[in-house]
Amino acid sequence: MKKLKYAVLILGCALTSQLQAAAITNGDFATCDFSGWQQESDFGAPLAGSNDLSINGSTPNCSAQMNVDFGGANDAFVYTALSQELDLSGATDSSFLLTLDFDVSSDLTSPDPSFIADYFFVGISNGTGNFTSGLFTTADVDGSLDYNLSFLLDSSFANQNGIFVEFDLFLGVDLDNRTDFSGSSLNINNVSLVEVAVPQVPEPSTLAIFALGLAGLATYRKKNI
Amino acid sequence: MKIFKTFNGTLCALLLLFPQLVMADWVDVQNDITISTTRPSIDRATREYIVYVTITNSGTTTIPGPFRILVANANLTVSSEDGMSTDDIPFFNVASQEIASGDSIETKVRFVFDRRAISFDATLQNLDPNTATYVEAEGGGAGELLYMGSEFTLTDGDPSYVSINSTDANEPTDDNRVVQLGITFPQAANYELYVRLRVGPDAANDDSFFSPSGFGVNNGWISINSISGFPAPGESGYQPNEPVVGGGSSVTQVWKWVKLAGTVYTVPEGELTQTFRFAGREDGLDIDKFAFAQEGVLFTIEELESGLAGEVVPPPEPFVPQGPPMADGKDKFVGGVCCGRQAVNFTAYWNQVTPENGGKWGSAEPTRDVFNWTELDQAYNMAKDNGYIYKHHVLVWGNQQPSWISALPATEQLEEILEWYNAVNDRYADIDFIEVVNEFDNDPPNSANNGPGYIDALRLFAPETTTELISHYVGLGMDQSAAAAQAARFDWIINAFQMARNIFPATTKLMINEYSVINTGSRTSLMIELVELLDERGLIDAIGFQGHAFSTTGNNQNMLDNIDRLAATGFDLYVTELDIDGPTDLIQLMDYQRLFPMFWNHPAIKGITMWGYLPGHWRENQGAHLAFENGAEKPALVWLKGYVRGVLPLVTAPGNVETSNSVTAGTAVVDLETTTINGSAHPDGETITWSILGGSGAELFAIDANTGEITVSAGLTLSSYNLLVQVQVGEYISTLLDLNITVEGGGVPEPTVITYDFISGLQGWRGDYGTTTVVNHNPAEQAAEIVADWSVTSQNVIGQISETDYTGASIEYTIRVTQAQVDAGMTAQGYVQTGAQGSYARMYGPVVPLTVGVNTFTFNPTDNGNNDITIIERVSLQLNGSLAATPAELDTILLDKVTVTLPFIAPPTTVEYNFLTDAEGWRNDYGTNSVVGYDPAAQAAEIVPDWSANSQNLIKQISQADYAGTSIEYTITVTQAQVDGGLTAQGYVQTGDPAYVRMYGPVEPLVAGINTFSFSPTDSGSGDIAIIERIALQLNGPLTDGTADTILLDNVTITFP
Repeated sequence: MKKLKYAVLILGCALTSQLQAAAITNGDFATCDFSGWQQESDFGAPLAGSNDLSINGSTPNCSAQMNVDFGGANDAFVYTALSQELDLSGATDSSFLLTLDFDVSSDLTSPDPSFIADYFFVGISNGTGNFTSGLFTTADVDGSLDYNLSFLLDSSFANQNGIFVEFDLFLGVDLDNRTDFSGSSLNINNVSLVEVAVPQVPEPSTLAIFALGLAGLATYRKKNI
Repeated sequence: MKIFKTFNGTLCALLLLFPQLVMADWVDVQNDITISTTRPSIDRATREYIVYVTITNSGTTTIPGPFRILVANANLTVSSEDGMSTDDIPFFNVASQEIASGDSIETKVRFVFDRRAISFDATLQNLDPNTATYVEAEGGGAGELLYMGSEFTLTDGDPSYVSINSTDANEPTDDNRVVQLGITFPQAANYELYVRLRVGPDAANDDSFFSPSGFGVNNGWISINSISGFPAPGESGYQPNEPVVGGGSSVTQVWKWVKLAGTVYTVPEGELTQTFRFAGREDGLDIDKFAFAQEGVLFTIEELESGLAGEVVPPPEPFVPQGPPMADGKDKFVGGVCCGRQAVNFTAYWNQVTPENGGKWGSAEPTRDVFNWTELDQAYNMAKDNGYIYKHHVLVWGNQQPSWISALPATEQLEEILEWYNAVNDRYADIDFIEVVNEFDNDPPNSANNGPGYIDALRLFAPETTTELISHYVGLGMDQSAAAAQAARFDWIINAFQMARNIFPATTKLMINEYSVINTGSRTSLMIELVELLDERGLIDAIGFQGHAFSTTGNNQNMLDNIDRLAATGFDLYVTELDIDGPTDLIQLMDYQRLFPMFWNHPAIKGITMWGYLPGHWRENQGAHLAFENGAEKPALVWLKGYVRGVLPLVTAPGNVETSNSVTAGTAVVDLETTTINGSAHPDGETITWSILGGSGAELFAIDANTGEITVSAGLTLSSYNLLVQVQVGEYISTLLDLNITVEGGGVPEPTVITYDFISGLQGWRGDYGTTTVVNHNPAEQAAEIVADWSVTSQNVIGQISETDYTGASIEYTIRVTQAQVDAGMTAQGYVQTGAQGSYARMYGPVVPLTVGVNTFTFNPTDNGNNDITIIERVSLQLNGSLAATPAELDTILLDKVTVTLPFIAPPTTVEYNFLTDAEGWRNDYGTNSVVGYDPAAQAAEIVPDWSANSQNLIKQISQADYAGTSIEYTITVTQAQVDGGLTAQGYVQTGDPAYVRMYGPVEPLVAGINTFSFSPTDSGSGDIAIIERIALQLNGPLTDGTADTILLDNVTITFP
């Protein structure tokens, strides 16, 4: 079931106008499978019989679910990752708006004495877990939270290859390598990439801001359990 | 291995920033920042944990970079670090160059993957803001090459550098001689500029370029000419730990660092990237890189070379000097060199102008028939616009001459010399003095030492001069060969002067100039011989002798004797190039007070020219400058201007002060008084400030800054102390009062013990000047750590002290040496040394063999026969050995302690001048014409009177002493004719500069033959009896008979109470 979204903020929306939908494959998992997406857990493909990655819902309202720390014999012992290279083809002065709609939940919450939080990284990467500095978000998975993230990729990204959107869900361990074996999930509802046109901005300071490449804002609400 | 790892890591990191540097100074960021870290993600390609570190500037000011993150105390192995700190902590560089207030920056740190939570401490460091920003001349470092004109060549290598291919002394009119760089600075600030460059083999023709007057493309140009600098390590002339200030060595064909003065480059907030341009002026100059350092940061050569932080030197308080020039209205001048950096506030101090480098032929005509009069015009106009005397420097010399002259045949050289003379005369119609030949003995214009080689061309002007001189010397008894050799010393000079006489108007006075004259009897004689030859031909009008620091060594009396000899030629004398080094302000002040009055008061010396007084001074590295560009004055200048203006405040000398060893701290010893130069009270409202600047009792006594009352501040022992006391009244300071305090009381007089224990510092000890020995403080060992340079066979370390009598002294040294050093044959030797006054004479102790571990040995200095033991200014240690081939660990020796024990020296009871061997320094008073010789048969000083004056005055100069209660007995022998003619005698004593107050005894009638009479000087009422500097005898006339007879002074005996 889709969770309630409380807000969507898009940086630079006042400055941009949508041109066309850029290519991202199966961003809303409408095909109810992982086509277009690169799946991985613990330095390899998820093991058969694991719960690392799964599809929820039914056509056309599916979402992808990532799990860690459920303790199954074939389950990920370190991380689960899902990524897709972005198709950033477009005009040389085009920017791109990337939106991410997902939610997370954990079996335990922080007051639980056995709680060792699992955590996640979401953002722009090289596809192997190396997130571009300044372009990611991370948080403990502690109860349930909805996220809507919007990133504006400036024209320096246009027509670049090797740039991925990536979701990594990590199993929390302590300094002695212990975990609580209480699972956490990250459910991806939708990922979209839209080419937008950005008006010429002559001021160097403004250009410098956009030269950072991307900025993100998110809203979330901790849900009552 | 730790050492290797540290070096390797640091090197790798810094190569990113400074391609040719091996180190840099990083410091923890002290600003308000927060550092947050994420939990780790995993780089699946490298199987590394990545932790994202965010630093937020929570303060209100921008924090300058570059930055790096240190990762300490990590529970996992750090991976892919950019380097290791000097403390062996891995670090990761941060790309950002600054963090604005409220902003955050982010970087990644990596660890070897191990499924565990990560714990570590992250520390943000930035380069010490006192580290310079380095820019390669060809682009690189913090600078990007934007444009390089066609007149430059880039040479790749280590280092890579740009060379200027053409010579044009004029400012560039297009960009062919311009290089343009875009430089990104770490922070907004005012920057001073250092340059690493190499002057080519043609020296004065390879040593200039244009720097910009500011950033940007429309700046003006500043000619940087006659470049001196500080050779880099490994280069000829390299001196460790030299501060890179103005001046330095003019050595060529070595890389050296130069500090460009006079321009500050401003980087405003928010405009960190600036355009910087430089331009070619003379070919043969190679430029490696620039270093922009924040204003007020001082670097050693090693710090610049290695990218280390310099030291912030607090700027002196700005000051606006008020004219007129100090010698305004006097009958002699005090001048300066102009212009360039020495032009600032010139007219507030100096009333005579000499061009410095601009007047040298090599500067004025660097290219044949192409003259650059810019600097000369400035100097000449400075003089003429202000009504000052203009003294031109210089027509003929063996240095800084045009390079093109050497290759010409002698006939063409002579044509060019005459053209040069005429060009100067044509352009400057009203030259008051001209130095025709400079350094005729030390640096003639022959081919030696890369000289211009036109000495024969000068001979060609009038070959008959040579013939005449040879005949002259043959006539004096020389054989032909010796006569020819002697003639060759002077013939070219005579011709050079004859040319000048022919070309310049009669109103221009012709001078000779030379250094190390008055401190060298033989050169004084040579100068006199030359002057007489010129005088015979009517070619000379004045004598100049340079007053550089190395030319005024030796005691004053010797110098005075030589000045008197020069004055006897009848020509006016000029001190042409005076500078006095200032290793400390006090030493410079004392040397000015010792030397300047000697020149200023000599009747034959008509003017003194300071050879610079501001930074940029050629001996700035020796501290010889007197003021700063912001107008702030060093103490020596404060004293000098008051002295010359005749407005010094006076301190009423109390004589020898006595106190007791039983007094307690706070007990008053003496209350000093000050008056105006005229002896009157200072006007109400004047600010009067007393201070003790030094002396053996400086730590034992205190002075009330407001009242001048001196009190005991520590326990006293039976001994005799001196205090150097100064009073400042308004703008001016007094001459130092050397106050003697004798501590009396019960018990046996105790010696003075001075201990250098090096517990908390070096206490002034260092490697001797001119050596490469380094002395550092080792706080762990609480010792002075001597870092030897065994490329030479002795290491000399010194502790500099104020002038002290070391008669009967004992010095104990404690040093620690290793077995390897002992095995290598190292020995030690104590010694003491005079300062400049004693020509730096050393008095050594025995060579002491050493054993491993702690060695303690004692040395009792003995005099060298010149009484230099009484004027010691350095306690020293010499380590001897031939350890060059031995391992580096032999280079460190620990000096734990030096203890100096000075015996109590009771004041003398009698001083006798018995004239058994010579006149013992008695002479005629200045400005009188009697002659004092010596009669060995009579064993008496022989006075040849000049009764054109009514009295004959004989003086003996002495160190300042208290003559209260003394009795002076004179024995003189006179003739019957003199008695009949009315001769009488009168003893007197006299103070020194500035008042020269005389205290006379009664007029004594005389009888024929031996007369003995005595008198007890009484004070004049101003305390002058305590500061006597001359014992004197006056013979009164006029005589009606016996005027041709001499008078014998047989004996003078002073009895002290």
